[in-house]
Amino acid sequence: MKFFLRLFLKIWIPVLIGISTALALVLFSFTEYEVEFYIVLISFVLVILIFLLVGFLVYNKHLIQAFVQATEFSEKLIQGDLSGLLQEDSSILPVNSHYHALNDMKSAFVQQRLKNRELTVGLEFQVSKRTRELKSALEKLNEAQRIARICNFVYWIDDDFWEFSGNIQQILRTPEFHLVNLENFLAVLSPEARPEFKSKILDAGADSEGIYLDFKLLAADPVQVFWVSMIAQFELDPATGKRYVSGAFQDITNRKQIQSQVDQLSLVARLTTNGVIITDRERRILWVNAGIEKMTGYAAEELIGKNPRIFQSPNTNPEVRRMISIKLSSGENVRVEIENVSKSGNPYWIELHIQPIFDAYKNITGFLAIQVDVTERKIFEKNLQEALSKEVELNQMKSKFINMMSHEFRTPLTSVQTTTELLGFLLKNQELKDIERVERNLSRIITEVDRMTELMNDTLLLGRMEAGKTQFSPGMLDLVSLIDNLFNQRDIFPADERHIQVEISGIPRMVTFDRVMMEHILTNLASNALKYSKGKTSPLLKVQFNEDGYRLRFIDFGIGIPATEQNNLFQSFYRASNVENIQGTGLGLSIVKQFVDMHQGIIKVVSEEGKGTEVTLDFKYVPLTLNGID
Amino acid sequence: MKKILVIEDDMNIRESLAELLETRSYQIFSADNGAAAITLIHKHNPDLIICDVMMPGMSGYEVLEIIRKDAATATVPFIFLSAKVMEADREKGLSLGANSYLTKPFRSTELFEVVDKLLGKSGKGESGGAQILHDFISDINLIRKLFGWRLSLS
Repeated sequence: MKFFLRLFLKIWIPVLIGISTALALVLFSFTEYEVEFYIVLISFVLVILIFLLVGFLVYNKHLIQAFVQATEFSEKLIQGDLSGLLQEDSSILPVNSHYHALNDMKSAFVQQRLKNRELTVGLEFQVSKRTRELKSALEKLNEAQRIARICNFVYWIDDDFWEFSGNIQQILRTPEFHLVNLENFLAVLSPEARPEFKSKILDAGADSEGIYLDFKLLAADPVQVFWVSMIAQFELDPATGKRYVSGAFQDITNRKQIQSQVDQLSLVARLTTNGVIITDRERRILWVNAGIEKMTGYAAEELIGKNPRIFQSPNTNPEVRRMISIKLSSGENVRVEIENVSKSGNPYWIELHIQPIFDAYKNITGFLAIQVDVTERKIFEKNLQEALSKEVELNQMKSKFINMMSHEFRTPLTSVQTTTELLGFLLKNQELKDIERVERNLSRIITEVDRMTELMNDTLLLGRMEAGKTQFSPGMLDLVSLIDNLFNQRDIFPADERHIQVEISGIPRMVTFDRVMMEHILTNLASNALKYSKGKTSPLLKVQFNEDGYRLRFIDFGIGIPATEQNNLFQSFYRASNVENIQGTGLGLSIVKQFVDMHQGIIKVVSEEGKGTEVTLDFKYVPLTLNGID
Repeated sequence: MKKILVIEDDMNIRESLAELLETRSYQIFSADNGAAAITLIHKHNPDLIICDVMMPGMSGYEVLEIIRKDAATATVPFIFLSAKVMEADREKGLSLGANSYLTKPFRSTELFEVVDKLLGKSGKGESGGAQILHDFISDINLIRKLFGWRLSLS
């Protein structure tokens, strides 16, 4: 509807003309008379006029409305009430190019007003904000200067004059009024710092990059040294052309102290032969010293980021590992001795100290570990321990031996003593005519002395063997005749009436052995067989000559050896638990075993307690060589 | 004559000891093991027993224990003769009720002194009323088994 109205308003005049003309032409064609033509023309003009009037009225109506609204606008604008203006719908206003121009102007005006207003408000706000900021910045600056122990300065070179902004006394330990010129200032510095300071300040030029200098103050007390740092810049005053240096002094005494401590500590950490490791909280290695590289064989760059677990060896006690882990998690210190392994696989012992590193809020930020190589000490300790236990064992053996020897010698000594005294009595009572009695007693003494000699020989033999001094000199000999000689002489075992029953099987032949040793082996085993089977069937010796060797079996039917003790039989001084009341040194089998070994033979003992014992010796036939058995 | 029983497994010691004591006019019985000794004790009722400690079979300690348990032999003087010379061995022997503990080797004078003391002998041969009385009582004691009564010096 609006569209048609607007269309009508824009084209009504040509339309009216067109319609009037068309109407006049129609009327004209219907009339043939002039009078009538004038009438038609006049009525046509009248119609046009009517249309014009109607059009004007319609136009005016909108124009009036537009003016009314424009007035309202201006009133609102003057009042500063902008609400709704920007949303005003121009389409309900009469369509008129003048009106549009006016409307545009109004719009621009309103917007400009708005902008101005915004700008003004913003500016006001910003100015007050800046002011506040500047104030607070100044306060902050002062505060910061105080806390950081900083003092700003300007030194006018041409005027030789200092200006300070801040508390210079706090830094230079000298009141500001004492620090007027350069000479005053230098007096405060330690003498060695003065030349450098002076030259840095005075030689500064426009092209110099900046002046940086840490200097010491003149020390009133040699222990307490104060440090000051200067950062400054050379400037030229654009107004007067005067030269000046502007910058700041800062008290760095604390920092210097900490720095020197850190320097010393890091020197220690770097140079110590002990290993030092720093890890982060996740126990990843951040830094290691040369000591670690030397100890572990890893290069530092191989270790960075790794867990120190790579140092541990399979031998590292899992309990200890767990303990370390638990202690570290709870922030405790750890001190352990553990066995680690180097990159090349060499085990080494370390004493390990681990300490958590805390930040200011007591959170663990990492760990510091120090490793001391104690391998040598450990080896020493181990050797010492071994030597000690060997010593103890040896001592026990020695005291056992002495006890045994003392006991073993007492029996024959008693016989000798008693018999000798008896002979003395006989002599005193002049009963020596009983020749048989005297002889019996004398032979008794000789037997006992022989017994002691034998005991002594055994002991010496063992001593020599243990010292590796026994001469092994084998020959091609007749074993059967040796056995005959030994066991057919009854008086070899005077304490027993029984014989060893000898049985020989196979084809006897000459075999290789050391006569003395073989005699000892046979006598000893035979004597054992008799000694431990008193009152039982006579023991047997079975000699077997086989294809490639010969076998000797001593079989007795005596007390036997408890099964649990059979492994210890060949140990020196070892005696089974069931022989307490039978004399013996505990040396016999030990010697026999060593002799059999020298013959490259094998000795085996099978025994059952209460039933008897069988000792088997196996020897191979071996050719005789110059140096003994091949 | 006083009767002494010698228990010793080593033949030489046993024989020489017996001969030695015989020179002092004692009657000697001897055994080479504990079991034989017990039989002899009951058979001959000795006045004194001299016994080795380490013997095959029954040890000297065991022999003493058996003797001390039997009322008939509980008070017979008993001497250990041993090559075990540790103080602990001596203590063990005495605690079992031995009257003396001699270590091997020993001097005959040492043995005689102990034997004489235990048998109440002066060392100068058998004489004196006390000895006669003692012998008398021991003879009576010998018979007491038959009749079941006993006499003692009090």
